[in-house]
Amino acid sequence: MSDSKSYDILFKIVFVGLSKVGKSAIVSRYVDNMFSMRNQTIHPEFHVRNVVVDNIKVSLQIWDQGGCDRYMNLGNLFYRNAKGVFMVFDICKRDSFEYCQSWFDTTTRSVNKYNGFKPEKCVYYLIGNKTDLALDRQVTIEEAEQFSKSNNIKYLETSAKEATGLILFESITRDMLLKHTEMEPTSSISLMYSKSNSTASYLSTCC
Amino acid sequence: MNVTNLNRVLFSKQNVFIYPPEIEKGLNGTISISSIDKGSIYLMWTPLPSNEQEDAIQSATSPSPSPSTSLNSSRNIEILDNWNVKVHVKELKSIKKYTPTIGTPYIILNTKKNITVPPFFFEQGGVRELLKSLGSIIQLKKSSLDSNIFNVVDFSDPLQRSISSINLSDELHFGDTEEHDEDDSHGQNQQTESNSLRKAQIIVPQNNNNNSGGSNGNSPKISYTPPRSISPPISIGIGGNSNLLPPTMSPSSVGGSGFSMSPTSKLLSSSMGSDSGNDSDISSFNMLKSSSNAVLSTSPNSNLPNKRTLKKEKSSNIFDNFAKISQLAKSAQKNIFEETGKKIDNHFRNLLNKDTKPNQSTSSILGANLANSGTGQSGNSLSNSISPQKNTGGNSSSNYNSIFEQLNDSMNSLGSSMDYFTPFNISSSNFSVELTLNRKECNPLSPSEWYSYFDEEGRICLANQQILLKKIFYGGVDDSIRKEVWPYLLHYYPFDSTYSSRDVLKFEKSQEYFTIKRQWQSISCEQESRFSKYTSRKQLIRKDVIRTDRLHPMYQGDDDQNPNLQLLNDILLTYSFYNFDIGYVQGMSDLLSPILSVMENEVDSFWCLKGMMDRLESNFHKDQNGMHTQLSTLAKLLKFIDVELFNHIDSHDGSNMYFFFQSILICFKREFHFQDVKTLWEILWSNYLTKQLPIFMCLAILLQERNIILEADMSFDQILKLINQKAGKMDLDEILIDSESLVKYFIVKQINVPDQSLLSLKESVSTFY
Repeated sequence: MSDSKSYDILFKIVFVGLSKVGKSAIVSRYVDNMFSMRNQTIHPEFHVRNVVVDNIKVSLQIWDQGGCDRYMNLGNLFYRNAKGVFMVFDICKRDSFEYCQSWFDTTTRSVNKYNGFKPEKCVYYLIGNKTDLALDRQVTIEEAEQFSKSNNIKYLETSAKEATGLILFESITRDMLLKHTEMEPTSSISLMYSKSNSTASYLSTCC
Repeated sequence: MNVTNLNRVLFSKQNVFIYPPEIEKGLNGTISISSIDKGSIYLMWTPLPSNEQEDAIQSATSPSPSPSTSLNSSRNIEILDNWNVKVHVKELKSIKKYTPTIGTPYIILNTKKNITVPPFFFEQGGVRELLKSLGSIIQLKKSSLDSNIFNVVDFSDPLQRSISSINLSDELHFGDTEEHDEDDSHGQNQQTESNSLRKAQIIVPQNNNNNSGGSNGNSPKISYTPPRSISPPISIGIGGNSNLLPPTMSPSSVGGSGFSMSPTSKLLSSSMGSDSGNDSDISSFNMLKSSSNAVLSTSPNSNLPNKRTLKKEKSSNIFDNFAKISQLAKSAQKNIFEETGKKIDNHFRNLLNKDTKPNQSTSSILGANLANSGTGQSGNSLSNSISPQKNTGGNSSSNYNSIFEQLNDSMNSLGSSMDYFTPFNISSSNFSVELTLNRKECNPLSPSEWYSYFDEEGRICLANQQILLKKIFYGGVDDSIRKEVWPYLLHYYPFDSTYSSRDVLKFEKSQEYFTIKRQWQSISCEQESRFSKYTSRKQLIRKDVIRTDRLHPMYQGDDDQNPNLQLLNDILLTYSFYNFDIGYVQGMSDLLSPILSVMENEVDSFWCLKGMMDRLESNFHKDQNGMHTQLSTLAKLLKFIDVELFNHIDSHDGSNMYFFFQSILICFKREFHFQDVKTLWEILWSNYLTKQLPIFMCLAILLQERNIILEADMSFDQILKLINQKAGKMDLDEILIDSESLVKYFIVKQINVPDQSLLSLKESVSTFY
C-alpha cells in the first residue's frame, strides 16, 4: 500500500490553550474553511490536511482538544509524536495569555514526556486569535512577542472568523521540515517515511 | 342578596397565599373563619382582587367578603374568582401544619370528602392563631403520629351529619340558588326529578362551575395539578342508561385547560359533563379537573370531586350516586382500552404481564409476544424458537455465528474457549432478530397510556412502574408528555407521590431553587472581586453557554437576546452552588440543554438536571475516577466478548478506551441528533435491563467497526478518528438493538466471566427482564 502513499511526510500538530480562545475555530477554518457555531470541545479530535511545501508533500494531522484541563489526564496520547504545538490565546482575554505563559512549561513537559525525544524536535508557536475584535484587545503585540522571544518560539496573530493569519500552518510546516532535516540529516524524508506504519496506509486511503 | 350582612367574622388573617402553578407569583388572599347565615361556620379563603392590591390592609381588617359577593364583584377577573375556598368546619377532617425553620409556614386542609384544598402559605405568620381560633369552634386533637397534624374530633355520627346537612341545605337557599339561576346549567338543576338528589348537591361557592360548556371558567380550581390533559365532555347516563362515547384522551383536547388526571378520574369528570337532564344534579358536582386532586382518600369514593365547600349534603344519596359513577367509570375505562387506537399499548401491557411469568426463556417470551401481538408475522415460529436457523435463514452473512448456537454450546461446555467466540456478529444473532421486532414495534409511550398508569390519587404503583419503565425502554416517550414523564425518570417526583404531594413538592423545590439562586445573585461586585473561584466559574459557564447547541432553534440568535441562554446560565450557576464540590465542568451545559428544551421551565429543569447529575456525578469528579472505572469496564467487557479485537486495540495502547470518553461523559449527547438524544436518555433513565447501558452501547458501536479496525490494522489515532466520525451518523435504534442483545448475551454468559473484573457490571444487569 505504501506505493500509493500520497505524501512524503506526516506531521502531527496539536492545539492547546484555554477554553473558548478559538482553537477549534482555527482548525475548522483551516481544514474546512468554515466558521461555525459549535459546542465546546470535550473529546480530542483530529483532522487531516495534505499540503505541498517546497515540493514536499506533507500530511498534517491536526489535533484539537478541549481547553478544560479536567479531562487532560486522559489525553496523554494527545501529545505523543507531536511535531508542532500551537498555543492559542484570545487577544481580548488577558487570562488566556497568562495561561499560555504559565502553561508553556507544562506543555513542553507533556510533549517531551509522551514524545520520547528531545524537546528541540518540536516546534512551538504562540497564536493570538480573534484579531477581528482588536478593539477590545487586552494583550499587546509587544508583550506577546516578548514572551515568544524569551522562549525562543514564534508569535503570529489570526482571526478564525475573518480567515486571516492562516499562514501559520504553512509557516509551522516549513519549520517542522527544517527541524526534521536538522535532526535527521542523513536520511531523506521519503526514505524515512517509507517504513512508516499503518498510519500511512490508512491515511492514504482516506485522504 | 345580602348575604354579607349575615356574616360574622370570627378570625381573619391577611397575606395568606396559595400557589397555583398557573400563577407564578401566587395569589394573595385572606383566610378567615366566618359565621355565615344562621350560624354555620366556614373556613374561607378569598383572594384579593388583582386590582385591589393596594387595599390589602383595609380589606383584611374589614369583614371578609363572602364567596358569593366576591364572585359577583370580581366575576370579570379571570382567575381570581375561581380560587375562593370555602369549607364548612364540619367538613374538616384534619389540618396539617408545616412550619419549616426557613421559609413560609403553611397548612394543608384535609376534608372528610377528601377534597383537595390548596396549601395555604402564611407569609406573615398566623398559623397558630388560626388553629387556636379554630380550636375554639371545633375540637382539634393533635395526632399521636405526627404532632403537626391536628385531627378534628368527629362529632358527627351519620345521623348527626344528616341532620346538620339538612340544616345546611336550608341555609343554602340564601346565596346559592340565586347564583344557580344566573347559570344555565344550574337552571337545569331545578328540574331534577329526585329531591334527595337535589339536596345532595355539593355547591361550589363560585358556582359558575358547569362542566357541560367546558370552558366558562368553570370549576373552582381548587388545587393546582400538573399541567396538561383534560377530558373532553362525555356523557354517561347516571340512571344506568349509559351512553358512553369514545373518549378522546388527547391531552390537548380541551383548549387551555392545564390539568391532568388519571383515566378513572377523567371519566368521572366526563360523566359529570353531561347535558342530559337526569344527571344534572350530579353535574353540579364540578368534578372536572378537581377530581384529580382527591387527596389522602381511601374510601371507594375517593374519586369524589374536589369541592372547596360542601354546602348541602345527603351523604347516603351522594355515595350511592358516586358508587354508580365509579362503576360506570370502570366500565368506561375498559371500553377505552378496547378501542382500536389503544390496542397496541394495551397489547404491550398484556405482553409484559405475560413475560413476568417465571421459567420462561427470553426467546419464548418474545416469541409469545409476537404471537399475541396479532401482527401475524412469524409469530408461531418464533414462539417456539430456541432454534435460530428458522429465523435467520435469510441472513447471508458469511461468518454467520449465532449467539444461540454459542449459547446452546456453552450450556454444555461452560468455561470452555468457545465462550469467547469471534467474530462477534450481532446482526446475525437471534437475539437481535427478536429484539428488532420488539423495539421496532413498540410505539413511544402515549399520553393516554401514561395517564392510565396513575391511580386515583396520582400515584404510580410499583407494579405499574416496572411496566412503565419497560415500555419506555422499548419505545421511549411521546414528545407531548416528556415534560411530565422526565421528572419521574430523574427522581424529581417520586413515583408514589400523589397529585397533592407533588404540588407541595413543586412548591418546596421552587422555594429551594430560588433560595440557592439568590445566594449567587446577591454576590456584589465588591465581593466578587475577592471571590476568584466564583468569578472563574461564572466565566466558564458563560463561555460554554454561548456555544451550547446554538444551531438548535431554542438557542439561536444573539448571545444577549435569547432568554434561553440566560436560563442555561442561571441554572448552571445555581447548580454550581447547589453542588459546590462539582461546581461546573464542561459537558454539563450539554446535559442541561435537552432538559431545558423539554421542561421549558427554570425550576423543573434545575431539578431534572440535578437528577441527571446524580446519575453521572462521578463522571465529573476531578479525579476522573468514574470515567476511568467505566472505560476500564468497557475494556474488560470487550475482552470478554471479543478478545481478538481487544488484543488489537490493547497492542495499540487503546485499552484505555479513550475513544468513548465523550460518549460516556455526556451520555452520547453529541453522538446522536438532538431528537434522538432525548429518546436515548429516557431509555437510559429507565434503568431497564442495566444501569450500565452506555457501556454496552460503546461496545456495540465498536463491534460494528471491528472488521474495519482489524483489517486495516488501525492504530489508536485511526480508531479515534473512525469513532469520532461516526458521530451524528449512527442509527439509534440499531445501536440500541445491538446493545440490548449484548446485554442479554452478557446476562446469559456472565457466569463464565473468569474473575471478579466485571462484578460491577454483573451487579448492574437485571436478570429479570
